[in-house]
Amino acid sequence: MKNLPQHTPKSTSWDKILQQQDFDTQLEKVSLDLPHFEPSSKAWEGIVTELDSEKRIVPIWKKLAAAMVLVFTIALSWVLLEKDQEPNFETDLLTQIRDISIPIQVEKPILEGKESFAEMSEPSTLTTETKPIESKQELAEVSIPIIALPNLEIPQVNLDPTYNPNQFTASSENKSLHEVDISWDKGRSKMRVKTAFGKSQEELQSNRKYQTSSSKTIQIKFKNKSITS
Amino acid sequence: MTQIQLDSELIEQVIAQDRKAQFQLFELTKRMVYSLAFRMLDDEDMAHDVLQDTYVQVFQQIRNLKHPEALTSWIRTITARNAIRKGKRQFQFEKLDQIEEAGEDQFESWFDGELLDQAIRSLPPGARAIFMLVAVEGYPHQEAAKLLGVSESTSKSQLSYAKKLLKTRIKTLLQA
Repeated sequence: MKNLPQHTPKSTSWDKILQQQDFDTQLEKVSLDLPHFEPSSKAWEGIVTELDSEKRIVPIWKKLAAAMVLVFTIALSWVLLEKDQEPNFETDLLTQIRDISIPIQVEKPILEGKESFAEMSEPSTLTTETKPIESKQELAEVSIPIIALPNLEIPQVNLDPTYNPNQFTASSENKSLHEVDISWDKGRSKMRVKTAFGKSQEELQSNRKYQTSSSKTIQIKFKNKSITS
Repeated sequence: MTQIQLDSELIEQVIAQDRKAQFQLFELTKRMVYSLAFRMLDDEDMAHDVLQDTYVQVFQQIRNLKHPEALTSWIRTITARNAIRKGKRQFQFEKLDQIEEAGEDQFESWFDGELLDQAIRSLPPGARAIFMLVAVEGYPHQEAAKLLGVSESTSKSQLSYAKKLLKTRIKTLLQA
């Protein structure tokens, strides 16, 4: 190596080196080679947690759509169920007619009258409207026994042929306990009727005494003095 | 800014929301993302928040990416935007009229990336954000100004101010 020749650089080399020493030039180069920093080891866990929580958030329009679908399904199923469902009767009120085989031969009752019970009774509107019941067995015709009513003895009342309940005479001997005030004054236009209806006998008697005394006499009350011996 | 080459198959798997592929992409790019966020904000907690928000956003919106080959640049853009959003309150721009201009001394020193990084993190938040966007990330002044909500002239003057401060800080660091 010692024997190898040496070469002289160009005279402008130093100037070029000095140019590179310029601050802006250095800044351009060094800014591309800035050191890197290491983030925390838990950074990825935080990102995963954030990503998972973001996935759980359902947009509001999706929630609304799901709710509408649910409501529609419930309504549709309700309508279909109502359509398919037969009217519900209370079976206790219906007569169940079954084919019963009777081992003994029973004679049919002889009809006395033309009108049988079945013919007399009008068909029920309720049963015909709701569900017709097909009778598999013919109803037996039953004769209705005639029940004789007992003879009642009604006492005969003889009424006075001259009696007229609408006729009222002032000359009647029986005095009425009713009071009738009739006024032609404007302020007391309504006719007021006072009656003793519902009052006890004692009250009626005291009222009669008071009425007779208050109109023309002065009532004096004496206090009972106790006499001491 | 070293460009990370990503396999197209890996990108397709990430688009298909494959968790292993997502983790692989995270491992390949996490230093790039975190370093950018940390250098812009100078705060570890805020930088971690930006890192998390960035990857969640990337994995959720990667389906909409028209050019999968530009995934790295797209990730850097998202990181820068998230960092600006996170540090919006601290990015206050000083009025340069009131600041004394330093003398135009000739710079006769050499510095490396470590030294520049220390100097960048010592810059005021507003000037640091402009320097990072324009000088490091390569944004034009118009776009950087728009991202930070300032005028283009403010962006230019803040970059000039940041460079002067960096020169001074690097000199100080070299003398120490």
